[in-house]
Amino acid sequence: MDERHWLTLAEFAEIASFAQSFPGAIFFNLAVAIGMRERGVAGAAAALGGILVPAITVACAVERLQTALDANLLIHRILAGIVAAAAGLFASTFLQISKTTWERFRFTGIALAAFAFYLIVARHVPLPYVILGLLPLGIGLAWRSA
Amino acid sequence: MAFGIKRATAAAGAAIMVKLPLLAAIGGHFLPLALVTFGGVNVIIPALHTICVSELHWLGDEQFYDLLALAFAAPGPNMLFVAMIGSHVAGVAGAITATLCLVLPPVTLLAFVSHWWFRARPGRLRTVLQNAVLPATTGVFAAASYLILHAVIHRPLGLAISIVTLVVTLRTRLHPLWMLGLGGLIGAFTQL
Repeated sequence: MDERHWLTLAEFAEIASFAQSFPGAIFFNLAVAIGMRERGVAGAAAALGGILVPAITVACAVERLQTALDANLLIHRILAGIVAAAAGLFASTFLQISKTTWERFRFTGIALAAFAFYLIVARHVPLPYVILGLLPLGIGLAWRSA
Repeated sequence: MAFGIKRATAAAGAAIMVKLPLLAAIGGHFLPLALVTFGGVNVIIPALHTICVSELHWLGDEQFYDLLALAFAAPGPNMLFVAMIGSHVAGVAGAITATLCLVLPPVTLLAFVSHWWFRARPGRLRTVLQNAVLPATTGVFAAASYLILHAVIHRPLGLAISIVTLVVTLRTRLHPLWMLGLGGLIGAFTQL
């Protein structure tokens, strides 16, 4: 955006909000949305490939390395520290998203979230059923408050 | 020369054939998750743990968290985690299968809708769509946080790192990588 002037800031913000309302990683969605907008399907495919090829290469290399060094205690300790920090990151994302849910839907939203948590953690219901099962209720709530 | 290439292709083909059942299993388990990843790969971490560790024993508990840490710390999108699992299960072909299964469905849907979306600029529909998955996503994020906290909670120092990271992330605009790096550093020098 800054270098090529493909988009203005406002356009970028609009595409970002569009990409965010879809399932999938925002990173890929954004790339495809911008690619589609600029050059159609070919642009989207190019944008996606441009991210996927290096990403998969890095992932494979890192995974090979980890498996090869599996017995290495030091690496395992470092990774355990990173996981501990990641747990904090997850908790902060959870708190932020809970705040948004509370602001939009109050108790009904939190109750629905608690129900989803219960289904996943205590009842081990597969994720697709939980999300799709609760979707009609979510749409009802969102429609009423929109 | 041409014969050599032919033989190499045949060998690669044979290797893929051997892995086909595994690749199909990856696809069968990951595809249903693709369309419910509202909020990125993070929301499917509990589901991935259930499928890959508890049910299919593709990798051990420790290795699951090691790869998760690497996916967070390595450059690139966190979606890399799925590629790492695929790579662990069935090599490069596994990594490609796992990533495409999770990335292609939402991206295809988006590509189909984008043309209409940018022209129609649906205001209310967009708000409804963005908000509709919010409660369920909140619950799923709670489950993901619970799962990962569960892995560190029996180590006091690990829990301390989590809490400090939580406070720092909520209070400052520090890039998350700093906290991940600090966690790794503390982990390296202590018996976490």
